[in-house]
Amino acid sequence: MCKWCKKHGAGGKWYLNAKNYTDELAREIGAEEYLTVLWKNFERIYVQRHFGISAKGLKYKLQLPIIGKFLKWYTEYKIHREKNLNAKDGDGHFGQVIPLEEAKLILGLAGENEGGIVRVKCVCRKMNRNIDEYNCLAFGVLAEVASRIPRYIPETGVEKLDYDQALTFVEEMNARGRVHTVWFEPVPFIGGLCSCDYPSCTGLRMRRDFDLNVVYKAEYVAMVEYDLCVGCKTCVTRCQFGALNFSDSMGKAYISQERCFGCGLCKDVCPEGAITLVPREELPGLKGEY
Amino acid sequence: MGIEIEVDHQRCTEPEKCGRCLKVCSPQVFALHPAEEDVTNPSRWMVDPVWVSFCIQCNRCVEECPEHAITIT
Repeated sequence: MCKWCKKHGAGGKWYLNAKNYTDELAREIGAEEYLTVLWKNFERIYVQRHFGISAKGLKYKLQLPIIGKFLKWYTEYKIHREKNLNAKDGDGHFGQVIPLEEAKLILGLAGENEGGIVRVKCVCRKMNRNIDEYNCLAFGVLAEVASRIPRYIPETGVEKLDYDQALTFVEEMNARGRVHTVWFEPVPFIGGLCSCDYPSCTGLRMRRDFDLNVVYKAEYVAMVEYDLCVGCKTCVTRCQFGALNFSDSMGKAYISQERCFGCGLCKDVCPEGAITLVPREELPGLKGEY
Repeated sequence: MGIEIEVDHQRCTEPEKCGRCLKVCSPQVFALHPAEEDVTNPSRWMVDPVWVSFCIQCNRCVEECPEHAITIT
């Protein structure tokens, strides 16, 4: 179980704790003010400073012997802190990969708030590739805040969804090959469920290219049952994390559990049911590897 | 390090309508962002290189930019 489950999971997973979606919690931690600033400045976060540090040459800076280590520590401290947040820098905004089944559970928990569920055009895709596309679901207070920001005004950027529509939306996104991610904004309030792909998703880019824990791996890893795999290669286009390839010598799919983020996209398309998601914590060699 | 990418904002005036550099860049170096003094104005976008360390100097952005606003040194 990840650190955030222990802290905010009430004995279970943090994103399955109904309290983390409530308007009461949002009020208690000032989520509305935070989100208004964060969402107004979203596309600027990486331009001037990344969590307080310029993103220009970040790779190089992180590789420096002593300064690099400090920089990584400081950046992660900023990302994960729970008090004195600077919303302009995105402090307290991080997430985790989840499989489709849990994304569906989340919709049930999130839809009960006053703001309901809306879908918004993705800020990452706008920023990185100038693509206007509905990618992200926002809940509760964030649904209200997003609707007030000029860029997401109802006729152009925000659309209200009921539970069934939201369910269809995540299923469609899954079919298209998007990774489901759930986000604290700010921790421990849960504001959104996104449909990400690398590298257009800035969170996945930060994690994969800079090893900064903006996005955590899921509570699961995918494993191939070699007796069932027929080597049809249906799954090989689905992995966003470079963890899955077709092993020609074995004639079957190969998954690197070390690289696997546990999104379950490969499992969802396997016609033979040969890929299963195993809880990370059941595997001693992967325990605590998020 | 070593690579410097510059976008001349005098020439690049409508990046949101154009967006060529954002789409042709294989390592996805550029980012579109609103102007600092006017973050909520959707018509005021700018393009800047952000993930400069990924630049492979293929020069596709330089060639594709209709305003010749990008220089790589």
